[in-house]
Amino acid sequence: MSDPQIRVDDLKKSYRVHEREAGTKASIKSLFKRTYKEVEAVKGVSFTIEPGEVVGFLGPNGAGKTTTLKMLSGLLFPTGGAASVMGYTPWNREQKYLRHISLVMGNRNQLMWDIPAMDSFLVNRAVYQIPEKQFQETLDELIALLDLEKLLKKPVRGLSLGERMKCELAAALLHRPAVLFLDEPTLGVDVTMQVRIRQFIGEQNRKYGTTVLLTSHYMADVTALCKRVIVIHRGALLYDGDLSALSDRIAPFKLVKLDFETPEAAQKAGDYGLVTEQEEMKVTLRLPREETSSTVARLLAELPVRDLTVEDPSIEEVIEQVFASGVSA
Amino acid sequence: MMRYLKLFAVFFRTSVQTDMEYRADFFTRIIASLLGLLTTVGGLSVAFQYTATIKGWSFAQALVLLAVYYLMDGLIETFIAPNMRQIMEQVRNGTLDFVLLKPVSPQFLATFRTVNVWRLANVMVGMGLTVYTVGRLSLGVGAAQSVNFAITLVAGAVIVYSLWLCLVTITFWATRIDNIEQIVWQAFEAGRYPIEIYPAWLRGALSYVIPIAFIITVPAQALAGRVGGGFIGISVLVAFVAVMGASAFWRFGLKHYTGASA
Repeated sequence: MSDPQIRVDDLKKSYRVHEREAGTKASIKSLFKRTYKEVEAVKGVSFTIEPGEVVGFLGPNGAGKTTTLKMLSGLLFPTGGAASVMGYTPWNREQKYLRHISLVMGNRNQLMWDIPAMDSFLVNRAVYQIPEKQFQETLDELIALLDLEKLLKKPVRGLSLGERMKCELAAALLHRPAVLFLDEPTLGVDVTMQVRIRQFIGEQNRKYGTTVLLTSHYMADVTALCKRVIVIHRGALLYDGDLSALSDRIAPFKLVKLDFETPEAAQKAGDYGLVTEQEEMKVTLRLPREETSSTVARLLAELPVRDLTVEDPSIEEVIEQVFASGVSA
Repeated sequence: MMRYLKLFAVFFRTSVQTDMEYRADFFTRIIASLLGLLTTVGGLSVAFQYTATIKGWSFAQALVLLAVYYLMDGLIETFIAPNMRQIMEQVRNGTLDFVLLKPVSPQFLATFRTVNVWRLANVMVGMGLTVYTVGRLSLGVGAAQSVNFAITLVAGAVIVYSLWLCLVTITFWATRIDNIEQIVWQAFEAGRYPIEIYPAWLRGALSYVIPIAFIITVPAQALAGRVGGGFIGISVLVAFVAVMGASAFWRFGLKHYTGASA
């Protein structure tokens, strides 16, 4: 257990993107002469992941999350750097490697549209050469955990988005992958279904020690599943460590919620710090962590305060703050 | 090898299930196929009212050629075309990724994944027509000719497969090319008439640059007993070279796809 299961070393990927201005003239011009722009999607990212870890991979759109996941699952060839997953170099796409991994993308489906999901499962059984007994056991378990009984016989096109995602997850797990890459698995899925999918991923990890690398726009996915997060921004690593320490590290501020006695006092709150929210006499201030106690003392002494609470910002706010300002750690 | 045969059986089964959803297709296919047949036979019989032979092909022999054309068309539409169309679609919407994620040859998974079951109707019409026209020839087709015919027919299908695979591979660079299919069909249509009716320079090009002659003319000639064993060998060799070349080009294309796609 001493060897990391996933090792990423200074991984880089840049694309050549075809560029043209809007308009007919520009499009005719581009027919003959194309201009290209080099886009660095991932600029030297390094990290390691131990077997059985569930790691949240965070970053705004275009940060390079999907590109990194695609390189790790062998779909993309990097421009530089190295990676090894279970001892294999992913982009060599050896069949032995592909047998041990799975990639689920929330915005794309592998299930065949016109026929029931069960038939796609049978195709996967043949493709992954899953022994009959193991297939049946895994299938029964997935049916029970994800409540698939009624879904498997309906053509996939007749399923809701959430139902389809449950079937996609099942299809991706039939061969019991040791490493699971999840790219926005709860995208567009309603809240109850999100909770269900989240629980399921957690159970798979606990029961089979499946290593999970997950990206999501829903912080609830991350806070529920991941102890550790890796944050990337504009293709570079911003933070790698405990989720709980993330706010201390990259967003050292506190939120002070105030309820004033008079509207005039509420007006003056802005003199003490950054107002992030205001609703009549209720004001939320953002204060640097080290100045919080002294500023709170001044507020209480100088203004008529009815009520005051000090809170840590939520993970969502921390992330938002980081990406808005583009802080480098 | 056994593994891939088994996989193909599974693919075939799921294709049958998919197509069962569109049963009416079977009958419209048969009708369309017979209608097309009638008009072509009509055209041929008009031409042959003025001459007994065209470049050494009699009316009866030209009908054999037509029969082989229908048979090949059916085979292409059943086994090759649906997969090639699907690959282009997958490149466009990014689902080709799922093909590359599977522990199996991507070329096999991409090009044998679907069978357009109802198009077997065209194969049946083609076979029926072949048996009928050969009977009319009163040549008496022996076992050797039948074997030669089967070999050259398969070789012809392999050549079409290779040509189409090459064209599809181009979509890895230019994601959207709608007229690719037209190129394949135009080449195929050119083989509908005896290759001898074209001028010598074009005949050479059609035989060896894009080996259209080997797709329909050679199988038909094999059936009619007009070609010797040497030609059968060349046909197999051309098919082998074509599929090896196409396969190498496909792998080269995949390398580009994984290197450049976003």
